[in-house]
Amino acid sequence: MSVKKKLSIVRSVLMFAIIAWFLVTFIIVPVISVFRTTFFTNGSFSFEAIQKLAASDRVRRSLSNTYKMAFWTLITVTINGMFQILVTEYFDIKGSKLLELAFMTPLIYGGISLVTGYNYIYSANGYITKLLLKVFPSLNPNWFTGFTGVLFVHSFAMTTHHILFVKTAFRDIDYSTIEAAKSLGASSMKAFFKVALPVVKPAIFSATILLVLGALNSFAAPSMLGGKNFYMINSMILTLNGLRSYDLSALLSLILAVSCIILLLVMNWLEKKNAYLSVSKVTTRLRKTKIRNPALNILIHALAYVLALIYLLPVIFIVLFSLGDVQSIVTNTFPKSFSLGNYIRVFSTSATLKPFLNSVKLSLLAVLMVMLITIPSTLAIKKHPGMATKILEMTLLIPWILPATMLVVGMITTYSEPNVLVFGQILLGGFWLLPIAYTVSKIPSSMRLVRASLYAINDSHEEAAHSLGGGAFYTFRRVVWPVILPTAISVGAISFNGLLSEYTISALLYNVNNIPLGIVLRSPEMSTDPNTEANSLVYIVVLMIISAITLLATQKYRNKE
Amino acid sequence: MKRLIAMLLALVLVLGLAACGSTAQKEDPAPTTSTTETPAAETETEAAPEAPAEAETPASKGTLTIYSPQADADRGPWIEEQAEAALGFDVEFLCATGGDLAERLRAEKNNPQADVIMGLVQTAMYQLEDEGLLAQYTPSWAEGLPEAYKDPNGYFYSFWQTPIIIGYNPDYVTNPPASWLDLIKDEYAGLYAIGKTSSQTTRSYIIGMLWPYYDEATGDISEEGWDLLRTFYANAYSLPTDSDSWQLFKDGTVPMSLNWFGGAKNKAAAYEAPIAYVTPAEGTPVVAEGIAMVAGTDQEEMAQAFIDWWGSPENMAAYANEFGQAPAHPDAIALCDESVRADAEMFTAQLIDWQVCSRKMDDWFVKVELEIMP
Repeated sequence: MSVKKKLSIVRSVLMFAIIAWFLVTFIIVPVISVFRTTFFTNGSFSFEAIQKLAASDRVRRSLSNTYKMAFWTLITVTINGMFQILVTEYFDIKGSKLLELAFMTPLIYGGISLVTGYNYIYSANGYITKLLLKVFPSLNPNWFTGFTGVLFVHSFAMTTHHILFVKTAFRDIDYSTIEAAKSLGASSMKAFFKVALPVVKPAIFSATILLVLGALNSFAAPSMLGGKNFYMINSMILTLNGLRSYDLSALLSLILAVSCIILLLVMNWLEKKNAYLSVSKVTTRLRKTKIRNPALNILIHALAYVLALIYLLPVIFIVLFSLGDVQSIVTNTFPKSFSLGNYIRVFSTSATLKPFLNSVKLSLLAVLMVMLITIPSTLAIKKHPGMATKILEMTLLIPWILPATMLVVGMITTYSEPNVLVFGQILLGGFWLLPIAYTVSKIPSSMRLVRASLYAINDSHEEAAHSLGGGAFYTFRRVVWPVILPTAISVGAISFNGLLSEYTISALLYNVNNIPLGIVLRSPEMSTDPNTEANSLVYIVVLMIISAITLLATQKYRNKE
Repeated sequence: MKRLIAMLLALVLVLGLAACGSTAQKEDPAPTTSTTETPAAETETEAAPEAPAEAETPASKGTLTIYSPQADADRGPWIEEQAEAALGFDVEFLCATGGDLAERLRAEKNNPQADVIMGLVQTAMYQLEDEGLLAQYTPSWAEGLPEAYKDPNGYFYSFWQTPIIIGYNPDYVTNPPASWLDLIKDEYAGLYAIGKTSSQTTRSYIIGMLWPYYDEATGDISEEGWDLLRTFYANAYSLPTDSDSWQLFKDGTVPMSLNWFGGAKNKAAAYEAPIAYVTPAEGTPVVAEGIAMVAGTDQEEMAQAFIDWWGSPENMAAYANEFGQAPAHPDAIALCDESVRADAEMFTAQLIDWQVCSRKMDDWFVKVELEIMP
């Protein structure tokens, strides 16, 4: 027993030494290096960067644009999210399964590929806009640009991730409480807002934090659709970095970070103030409510279908056009014939196929590393509350409040020279820095979700396993592991899908041997090859298929959550 | 349940291995100097080519990595094919905007990934030279090259001359501007789009517009110049140049293109859009793209062979006839088709001291980003 115990202690110490090394090397040191480049130019402390930025109207506008966008995204996504929950979970709507599928489409393509897809059909040359122009000639053909375009993308794409976790909570609502409210005379709407919603408030809160952080850090939509009058802070960071104003880009990253921290503090405060606990232990399954008022019924059905159409159209058209000939793809006219020609071209040329394999490989590596770090850490945080684990928890959450761009800028400045922390290697320009940065960016959200599932474990089960003589490893395997696994797989799948077409981090770190998909999707603007647009569509479709398979394969586990 | 987990894990593993394996096979030994990768790569290649005939041995040297904004999907394959046929070793390109590539070279200073940098304009090349990122090499074709295309310190040599031009669609622009500075007139508001500041084409015409306002006494641009640029930006079409822009050029939405000459010419042809060019009396910025060996390359011999081949009058003429780009070397121009020669003489070069600009331009473009753009 004691030998076994010693062994297990040695094992844990070793594991946490590695985790600690990783966190110090790839989170803490890069952050410190960002501070250093910002405030110490030529070896002495200076506020020069602050003065330069303060003098710039454009920086001020990019900040106000960013906050404005985050605020409006919060509003539209909340409305859209509530509506989606109403029609898929609460009201009895015909074809609600199909609606739900439509609302989930942003899960299978995100970031740069989603914006490329939306832009392809909603831009001035896009098929849908041309169609709309025939019906409403007064429509501005460029409606899908600037603030409106970005907000449009945010409102639809971000809602899906937003309500994913709210929905799970919603399904656990005790139906008897709703019934009780109704029998006391509340309308079904009132029962929804006054009884059902407050129960899922904690879930809405954490989802909202994620949402606003996402909106503040948005990059793909504003940089592709923003145009000269609408720009957000993350694009400024990348541009200034490209102009070698590292101090300015680092300072802007810090401003973005401070905004995120303030947001987190405010949300925490609000959460505490509005703490609401559901006390019902045994719940009755939620039953769907019929809408009595026929007019309202028709209206809600219609709205739900229009909404679903907005989600589905890009997917349908991307698939259709990807099967069309190159000429109709370029000119955006409906293809007359369909073939697999574009697919065959992409997959028969190693130059076009390679980015795909690169992205799959990089994302897979990153997801595995995320799991290796977050699962033991969260277990330790729960098991041994104390100073050390508190620090561990805080460190793991750093990438959440600091924008990815800032961490990457820090990594670049730190590891462009040989560094002791990485055994005297120069990581920049090599293979590993990119998957490591991917990993770091996905740690916080994974950790939060894994932790949430961990708290669902009944401590008494663990105690029971212990007192029945089960060792620590046995308890873990039989009690803890089955609970974590579904979340881990689900989080892994979503992170994997998200990373497949990642752009912001990739743009700063890719090298000639690991060019990922996001970069290739973004480059048609530089190319004169007529095939590039067709290739992009093929990439997006295949991306959707891979992501859909990942989600389907893990569905079993996710439903158990 | 357990079996499913096991299967899933197995699947993940297999996928992972497949992904790693396939790339490991396909990737020709990477020309990295990273200590972990090189030994493996070398042993792999040394073992491999023993069986095949001698003709394949040059490939055993590895791959030459070239960073070049010209190696896009259009021209990259042609260059790669010609180079591999002429030189007998593998050539790999990384294509991005000139600004991005320069940035990459800087970041990779201590761990160079590229062996040759090709196609950056003088300003960018001077900057890289100042920062010690280039290695000296005098190519075989340096003789007979006009002084304007040679770096006095012998680090880089230019092979092309590229006029940066205003192209317009004559169907929609009936009264074209006479010069770059005319663009700020109200009648041209919204008719042109400005590219990203990381693009060297954008940088070149902005420098061209600012240069008349350069004050040698202060070493900077006068306020008048900045005001002009402010109007230039304020009047531009709202979207940046992107993949749609030639569609917009053709249908008259944005009928003017601020571009490099060859690019505008080829794209207009590809989209079957009519195009005419403004020929300002005071000249248009003509940039020259240079080629140099990257300091710290581990493929010095191959890099030099490539540079010698690339700039040779024969290859330059072949490239010019294929893509319509005017060479810098008089011997190459002499070998070109008549149409290329005519193009080469269409524009006069605006007088700009690129070396001075190379030292100032980072500050100028930060100013543009922070204070000038709307």
